[in-house]
Amino acid sequence: MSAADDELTLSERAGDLIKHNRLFVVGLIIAVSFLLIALTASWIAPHDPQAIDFDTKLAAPSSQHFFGTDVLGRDIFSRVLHGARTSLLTGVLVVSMALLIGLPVGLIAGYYGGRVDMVMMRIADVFLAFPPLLLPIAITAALGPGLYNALMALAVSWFPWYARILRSSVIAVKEELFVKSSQAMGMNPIRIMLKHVLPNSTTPVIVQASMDFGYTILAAASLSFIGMGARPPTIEWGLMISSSRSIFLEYWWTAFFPGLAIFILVWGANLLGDGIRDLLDPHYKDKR
Amino acid sequence: MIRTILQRLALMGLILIGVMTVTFVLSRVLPGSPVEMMLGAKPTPEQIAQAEEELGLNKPLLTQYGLFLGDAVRGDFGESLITGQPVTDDVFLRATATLELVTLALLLALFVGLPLGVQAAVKKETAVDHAVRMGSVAAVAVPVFFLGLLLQMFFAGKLGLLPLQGRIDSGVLLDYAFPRVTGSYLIDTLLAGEIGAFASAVRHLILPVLTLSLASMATIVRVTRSMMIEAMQQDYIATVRAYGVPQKHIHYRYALKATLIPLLTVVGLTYGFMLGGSIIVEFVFDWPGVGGYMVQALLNNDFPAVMGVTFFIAFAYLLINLLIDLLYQALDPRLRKS
Repeated sequence: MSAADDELTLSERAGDLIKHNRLFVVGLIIAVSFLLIALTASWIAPHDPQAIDFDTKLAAPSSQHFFGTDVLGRDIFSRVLHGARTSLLTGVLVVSMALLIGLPVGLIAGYYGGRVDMVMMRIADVFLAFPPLLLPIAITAALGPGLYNALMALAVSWFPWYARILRSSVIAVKEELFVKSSQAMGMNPIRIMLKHVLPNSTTPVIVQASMDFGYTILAAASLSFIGMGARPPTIEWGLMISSSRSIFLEYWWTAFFPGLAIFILVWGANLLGDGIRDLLDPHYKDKR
Repeated sequence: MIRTILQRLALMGLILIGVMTVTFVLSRVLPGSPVEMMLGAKPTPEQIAQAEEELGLNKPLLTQYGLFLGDAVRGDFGESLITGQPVTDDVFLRATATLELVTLALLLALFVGLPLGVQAAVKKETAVDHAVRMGSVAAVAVPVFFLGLLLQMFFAGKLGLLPLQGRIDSGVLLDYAFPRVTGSYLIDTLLAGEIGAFASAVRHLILPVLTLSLASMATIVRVTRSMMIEAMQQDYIATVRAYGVPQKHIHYRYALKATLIPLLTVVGLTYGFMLGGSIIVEFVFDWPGVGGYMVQALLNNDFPAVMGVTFFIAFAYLLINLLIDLLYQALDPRLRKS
C-alpha cells in the first residue's frame, strides 16, 4: 500500500485524507471556524466585551446573554469570541518563535557535527531536563508576568525539541550525493545548508510543530490561569476561568464556557495536526 | 552495570550543573529580577542597597555564580520571603504531599491505560478501538485546570459527595491525631489505625488524582495500543497462537510483556508531565504540596522560593529518569554488556 501511496502527489493525498478521515475534516472545520471567529469577533460579538454593567452582573445564560455575564456584568459570549484571537495568536507565536530558534540550532549542530554539535545538544539537554510547564513558569517569573513574556518563555522551553528533530534529519541528508557534490564544488556552507539541506529535512519538524500547536495553547492558558500569563484587560480564556475561581460553584457559566472553548480549539488543533502528519508522512499510517 | 551507573551519575551531575546555571541566570541576570520583586513598587535607594548587600548582588557576577553553585550544592536556596523558612525545609515538608498525589495519579493512569490500550489494539478498527482512540484524543485536549473545576462543580458542588479541596478534613486532624511517619497521609493514618482519618484522606485524594491522571492515561493508551499492534505482528505471537494458547494469555503474557520495557520510557516522561501538571492541580485543589507552594510563591513574588522549587522539581525529574534508565538496562538483556 505504501508503494502506491508514494506515487500520489501531495494534493491527491490531501483529497484522500478529506474523503476518508472524518476526524481530520472535523479538525479542519473547528480550526477554520475559530480562525473566522478571531478575525470577525469585533463584528459578530453581540456586546462590547469590555462593557461593564453592574445591573446585569452574574446573569445566567439567556437569550440576551447566551453564555451569561461575569462578575462585572460583561457579556461572556462576546468575551469568548474575542478570546479566540489571543489563543490562536498564542499558538502561532509560540510555535513560530520556537522554530525560529530551534531550526538554526538544529541545522548547524547537525551539519557541522563534532564539538559544535556536542555543545549545542548538551545545552538542549539542560532545557529538556526540566519537566514541561516548569521552565516556562520559572522564566516567566523572572521576566515578570505578562502574555508576551509567557509566550517567549514557552518558546524558549520548546525550541530544543525542534533543534533535536531537525538535527537528526540533517545528519541523514548531509550524506546525500547532492550535498556532497555541492561541497566538492566549493559552495558556501551557509548556502548549502539553506538551499540543499534545510529544504530536504524540514518535514519531520513541520509534522511535530503542527502537532504541538494545541499543546502550546493549553500551556499558555495554564500560565494565564495561575496568574503568570495574560493580564487584564487582555481577553484570554485561561484568565477568564482564573478570575471566576472563587465563584464558579454558584455561577458555573463564568468558568464553563471559556473552558469549553479551550477544549474545542485544542481538540480541533490536535485532530488537524494528526491529519497533517498523515499527509506529510504517509508511512506513519502503516505503523498505526 | 556499575560502570553504566557511574556514567549515568556523571552525566546527571553535568546536567544538574546546567540546571543550576539556568536557575542562576533566571534569578540574577535577567532584568527586573530579585530586588525589585522583593521590595515592591517604589523602594528607596537605601533599601535597594541594603537588599543587594544581603543577597550579595553587589559582588561581581562570576563571584555570585560561584557562591550560588556552592550554596545550591549544599541544598541552600535561601529563605522564603513569605514563610521565613529556608526554602529547602519548606520543599521537603511539602514534598510527600506532592509525591503521594503524583504517584497515585501515575498508578491510576497505568492501571486504566494499559488494559484500555491492549483492548483497543486487539480489537483494532472496531467500535471499541474507535471509541478508545476518540476518547484519548479528546482527553489530552482538556485543560487540566478546567477538568479540575468541572469535577469540583459536579462532585463537590452539585452532588456534595466529595470534598472541594484540601488534603484532609481539619476536624479529622483534631479528632484523630496521627503521627507523621512517612508524610503520606494514607500510610500514616493506617499506621496509626485511624480509619476515620484514612477515609477522609482517601476522599480528598479522589478528585485531584483523577484530574492529574486523565491526560497521561490517554497518552499511555495511545502508546500501548500502537506498541501492542506492532508486537502482535511478530512471529512469536503467531507461534504461541499456533500452539493454541488462549487469547487472553497471548495478549497479556506474551504481547504486552514485550511492550512494557519501551513503555518505561513513557512512564518517565509521564512523570515529568505530571510534576508540571501538579503545579496547576495543587493550586486548583488547594493541595498542600510543592506545586501549590510554588504558585503561592509566584503570586507573592517570593523569588527564592520559586527558584528553589524549580531546582528541586527538576532534580526529582532527573532522579526518576535516572532510575528508569537503570531499570531499563536491568530489564532488557540486550542492553547488558557482558
